[in-house]
Amino acid sequence: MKKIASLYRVELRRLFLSKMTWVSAILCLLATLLGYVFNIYSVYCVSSQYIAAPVMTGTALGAVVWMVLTISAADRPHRSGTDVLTDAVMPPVFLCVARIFALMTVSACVTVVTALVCLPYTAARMSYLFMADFYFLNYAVFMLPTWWISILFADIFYRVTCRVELSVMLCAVSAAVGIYSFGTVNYFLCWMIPLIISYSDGFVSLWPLRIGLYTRLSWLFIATGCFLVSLPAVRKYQRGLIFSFHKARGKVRVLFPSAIAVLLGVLLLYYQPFIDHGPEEFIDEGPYVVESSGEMSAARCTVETNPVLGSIRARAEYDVMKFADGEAVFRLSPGYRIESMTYGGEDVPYRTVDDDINGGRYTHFTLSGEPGQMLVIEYGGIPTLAKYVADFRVDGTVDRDYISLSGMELLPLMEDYVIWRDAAIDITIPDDLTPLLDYALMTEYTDNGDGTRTWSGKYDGYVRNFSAGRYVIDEIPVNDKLTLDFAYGKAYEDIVARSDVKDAVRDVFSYCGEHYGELKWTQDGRIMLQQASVMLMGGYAFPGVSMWFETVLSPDTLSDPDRGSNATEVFIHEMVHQWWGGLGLLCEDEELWSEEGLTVYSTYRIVKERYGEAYAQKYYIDAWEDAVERQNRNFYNRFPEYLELLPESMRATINTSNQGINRYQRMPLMILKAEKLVGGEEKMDEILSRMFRDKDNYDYGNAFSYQDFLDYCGLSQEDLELE
Amino acid sequence: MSRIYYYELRRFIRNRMFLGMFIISGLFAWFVLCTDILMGVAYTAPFSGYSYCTYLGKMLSFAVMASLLLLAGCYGKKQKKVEILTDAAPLSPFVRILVRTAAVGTCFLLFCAMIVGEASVFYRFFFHFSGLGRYLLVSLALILPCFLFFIGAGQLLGRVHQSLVYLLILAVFAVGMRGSAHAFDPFGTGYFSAYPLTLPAGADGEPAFGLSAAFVLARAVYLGIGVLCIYLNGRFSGHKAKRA
Repeated sequence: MKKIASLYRVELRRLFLSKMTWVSAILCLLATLLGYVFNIYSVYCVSSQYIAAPVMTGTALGAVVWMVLTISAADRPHRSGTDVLTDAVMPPVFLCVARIFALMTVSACVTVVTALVCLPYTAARMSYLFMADFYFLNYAVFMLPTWWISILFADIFYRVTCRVELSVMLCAVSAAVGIYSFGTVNYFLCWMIPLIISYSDGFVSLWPLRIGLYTRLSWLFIATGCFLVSLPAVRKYQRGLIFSFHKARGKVRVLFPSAIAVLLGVLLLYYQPFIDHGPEEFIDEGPYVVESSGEMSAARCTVETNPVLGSIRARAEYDVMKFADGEAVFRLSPGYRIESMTYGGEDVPYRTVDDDINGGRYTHFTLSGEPGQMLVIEYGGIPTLAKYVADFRVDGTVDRDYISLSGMELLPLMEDYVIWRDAAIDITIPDDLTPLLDYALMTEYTDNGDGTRTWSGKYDGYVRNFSAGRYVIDEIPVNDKLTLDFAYGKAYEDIVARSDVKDAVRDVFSYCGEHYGELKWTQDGRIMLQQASVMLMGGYAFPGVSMWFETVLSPDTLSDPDRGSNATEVFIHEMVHQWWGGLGLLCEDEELWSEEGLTVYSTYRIVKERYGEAYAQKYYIDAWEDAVERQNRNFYNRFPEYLELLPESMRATINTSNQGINRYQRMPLMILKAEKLVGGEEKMDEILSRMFRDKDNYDYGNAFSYQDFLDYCGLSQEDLELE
Repeated sequence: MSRIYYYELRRFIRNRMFLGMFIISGLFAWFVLCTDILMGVAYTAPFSGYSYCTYLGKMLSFAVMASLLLLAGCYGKKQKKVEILTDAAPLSPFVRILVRTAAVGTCFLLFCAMIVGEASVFYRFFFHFSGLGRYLLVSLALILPCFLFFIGAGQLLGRVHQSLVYLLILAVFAVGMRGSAHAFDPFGTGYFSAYPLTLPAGADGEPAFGLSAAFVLARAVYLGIGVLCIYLNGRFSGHKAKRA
């Protein structure tokens, strides 16, 4: 060990005196600075542009630089012809280990220097959104471990091949794997450019850092294992790989720890707790219907959040009134483990089926004894992301500044029991967060005195959503009958004060009110417009609630009137859903027809009125036509019989793309055609107004179908077929 | 002459780099087939001529890089020292260049055979399609000019300095990965992805397979330049031998 330490000091000094090291350090710094110029993230968020982009660019390009430097350092004794002497003085394995430690130390120094050099510019550009701990965490989690992995891999490749060009080639292949996976669904193959969808400015989540750290650690285990197993490959007596390995002393001793390290890394990657093992596409299960005759009433639910680990612990209690027939089922997030399930104090037998679907995992249980006692389920864990959304959004997250949990991430979703009566829920979260339960502000709380608050509320047996963040909630009166609750992140307070976003909100509600009719169903004449984290990658709407995209309020969006189909229009789209969908006009969800078609069409009309015909033509009609043409020309759409021959992931990609185009492009184009056939925009508005007025005639059992739409227009299916 | 050819060929094939590149290219070829080509190129079938040629073009860049790497080895310092001995052999420099080109060409053809073979297996496995034979001519039109042009250029650059061959490899990588819609795209990757979009679709929605006159002309130009480079290289070697 002393010998290695002594060699380490020598090697470290040599590296610091080497020009190539300084050139490498400068290249790493330049690579990071390049990230400020070329923003690799399409979603505009200040933290993505000024933290994620430079760190990721520096990480990836720096990894290439460190690979080159490592191979050069490893080849130096051979290149200079001194390997014969150094090998005689010191065991080459010691030299190799010392060199790797020295390179790692230098790369750590370069990381610190790069972070410090970029700090003033980043802090200045991000202004009040800058958080020093988040900034340094990015360098510590992504840059340094990735560089260490690249150093280890490069050294392994050189030691095994003992050839510079072969090592470079193998490095290029491993880099190609690490980079090519960028943009695909695989968080775990992206060892070189960690996959980050986006960062949020107003609702900071550590989820990307958690998965980043986890994957870096897994790869470090694998690289360290491979490094250990490659140590006996150091050439002996100027002989080849096999002879040297065979003659190596202690090769059996390193095999065991190296196998453990590699196995650990692989197991960590396979059993990762972040993304479930469900299908690659959304499985349409139809509306949520309780299938059996069991009856229970939810009594109480207690949830404790742990923002450090990103996990929850919860306890749900139910009064059982009538047993379900046979085995009953509930669903929870696949990341949760059920700690106990008791009925009347006795353990309930249950089994969890590892068959994840749409972000949920089934647990089967059977109750026995007499009804009338209490079922208690205790569970906890990290909410996992459904695989089919993993490459474009992050929803379930528990953080210091932002918490977002969907129904199955909060409570068991009972499939065989009807749940009666409202129940109480207590949720413990950091004391500076404002909680919204089912999009309504929670008002009652108890201070725990430890930096947390326990908020109490009511739920009707099933919670759709719980979110908490640093929210500001303003009231926007639209008219005498309607008031909007406009909830946005505290980080955007200044921007909201300076921009006309509140007027835009008022305009949309006025437009739809005038053209289609007033919203009469809202409770107390109020609608909640809640800003959601950018990591949700879009918005959605429920009766009385519109969740909208965080970047609507980004300076870039608000200052660029030429950007088409942008976040502001997503915002408009989600607000329009109050008329089309939910408790507006409930539409049948068919392959082609859904409320999205009507909503996109209405958004187009609003945009046309606000920004002009040329803008609407370019960003809406032309874009729809282009998408529909691409869909029509796609080989697998022309010959669907070949689709069955494809692997599941490819089939899922094509099906998902088709579903999106059908709803968001083809149907609006068909409605536009209908508009021309019925006599223009005014006539179409009259029809849409009539449809909205008659909304009470349609419900879940009899939703508004495509045929209904045709009947209102007086057209046939053939009339609206696109050429 | 044939003994020297076999000697050179054996030297290349037993090179670890050849084996490494062969395995890497094979894996990458399957990856390209299972991702890009499986979806079809420019809305055509995955087994259309355009999709197949796009695949072939993309993989040809790998075959060319491997061949250039082998060639670069011939211009190293050690090799130049050995040249004093090999120059003494009763073989004209021009013929020796041709023999070396033939040996590299054989390695290149082995790569091409692997690439086409994988495509054949892929098409049979996924689509039960076995009609690759009809694309034989167009395959040759891609393979031959590519090989002659880059190997000829590589030989000329290698005569100046070995590192120039490595630079050429980098250029091949960049051009091969990026592609260009222009007919002069050396590997045709970009051309075959863009050209069908300009053609009218047939009754089944597929554009008929064909090549534009500009593309055929471009291949002829590459072929001509390649032959010229090899000829010039032979002539320069001859002059050097005479001076010696």
